[in-house]
Amino acid sequence: MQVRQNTPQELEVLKIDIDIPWDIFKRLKYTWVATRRAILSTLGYELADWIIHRSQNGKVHAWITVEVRKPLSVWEKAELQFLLGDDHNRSKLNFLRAEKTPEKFDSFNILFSKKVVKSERRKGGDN
Amino acid sequence: MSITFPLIDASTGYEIIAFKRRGRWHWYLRHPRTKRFIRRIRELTIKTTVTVEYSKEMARKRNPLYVDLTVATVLRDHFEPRDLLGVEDRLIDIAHRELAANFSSGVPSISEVVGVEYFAFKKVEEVYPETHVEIIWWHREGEHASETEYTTRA
Repeated sequence: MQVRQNTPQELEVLKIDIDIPWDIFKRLKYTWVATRRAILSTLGYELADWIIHRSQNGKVHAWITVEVRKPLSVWEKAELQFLLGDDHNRSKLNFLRAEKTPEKFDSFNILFSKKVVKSERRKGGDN
Repeated sequence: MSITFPLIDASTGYEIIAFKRRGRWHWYLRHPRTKRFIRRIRELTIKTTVTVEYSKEMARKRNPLYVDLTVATVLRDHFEPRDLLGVEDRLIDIAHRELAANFSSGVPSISEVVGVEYFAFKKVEEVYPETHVEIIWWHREGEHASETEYTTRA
């Protein structure tokens, strides 16, 4: 009889910024989640949870929780986020950060809770 | 009285909700899809990010520069929703002050305040009015990259 070994699993949250309008995305939401599950499964990971919000500027923010056997390196996180459909410009900066300042990667791997609307006061700098 | 605020925990995407009971505000973390309460929030971290993208085209003969600067602080013990806006504004002021101090007085004017993150836990040790500043910067064309981290006061 084959005994299946239980490997301890850890959870990692990946942050995906999707640069298309919410109204278009919401029609594809469940297909998008299903395809993310397929991508993760191909790479040997399992999707544990997903949360999708309409961002303040009318686009899409997604938090994808993944089961992993060992914590992901910053480079693996940057790669996975890119492969899961993260905005390319954000991915480019994340790869740069992963390469140049890896220990600060998590501090700057950001999906904002709130975008700051530029006011005249802030635009010109008020220091 | 119960009010749901459209706040989102930046690390998980969970909802941060607040309600007033017996004159005090209580904060909770909730799953947005299942509406399951996850836990009570006793400490909330607010983090503001400011960036500078001084591209090669903009810089011409000067040094192109990329800067990420964050200022973070922790609110604790029965903070109110109205405290948040005041603290956010203060963090932006500090970000501009620190950009001027670390680079030059002209840098805040080319910076952009890109956003605010809320975290339903203590992400830094500094409790308001103390703030935690993190800066990473690099020259776009060069190999040089640098980072710094320190505490300052609002």
